[in-house]
Amino acid sequence: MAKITENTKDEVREIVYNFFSEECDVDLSEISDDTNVIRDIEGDSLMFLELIELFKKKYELHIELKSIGKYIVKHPAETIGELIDTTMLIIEFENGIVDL
Amino acid sequence: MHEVFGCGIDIENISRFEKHLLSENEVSDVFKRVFTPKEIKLNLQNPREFFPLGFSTKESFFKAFGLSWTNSALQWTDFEILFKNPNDFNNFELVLSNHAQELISQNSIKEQDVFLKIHENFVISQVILLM
Repeated sequence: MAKITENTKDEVREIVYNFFSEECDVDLSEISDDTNVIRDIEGDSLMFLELIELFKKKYELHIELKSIGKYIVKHPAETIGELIDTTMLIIEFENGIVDL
Repeated sequence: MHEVFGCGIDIENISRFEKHLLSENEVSDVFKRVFTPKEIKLNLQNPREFFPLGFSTKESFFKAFGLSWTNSALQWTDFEILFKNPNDFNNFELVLSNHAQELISQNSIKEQDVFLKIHENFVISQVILLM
């Protein structure tokens, strides 16, 4: 389980923004916390998988896709802001997010 | 006479998958989550085409069931697309397991038709589930 510091959320935010800016070929200024990942910037499944893997490596997380899937069923993450919040929970709780 | 349970269609840009081919025998962790070891071994016979085709087919299956990996117990590895001939992407075996197989039984699905096509830099897949 990764240690959450005051800087973690800023770090996660920066990674998520840069990732979608690059992958979706959208200028950073066009992305906000309210941006809908699929509808507004055409994000897709492969990008979500790549982003999960990126955080898994960066924070040495041990999390299974099905745990993330179970959490998202109950708490959909459609916007960039929601995705950042979900990522923070994944970093903090790893597979324990299914019990939240 | 069969009835259509569901139909899923997907299109993928082949070039997006290239970064996941790390070397002749090594693929990214993303691929290791999506594909089974058996699929990876067979896909490496023609990685540029088989990985995008396999991914797209799995996406089409999710859509044909009206589900996704984020809203159901279905997992990417519940569908195996096993390409038999490196020069013929239409020669494959389909293996469904775990929740995918349960859904097939629960919904009395008798037939799964899979159509694959490559057009320029895109792969296109269509899955039709018949009851």
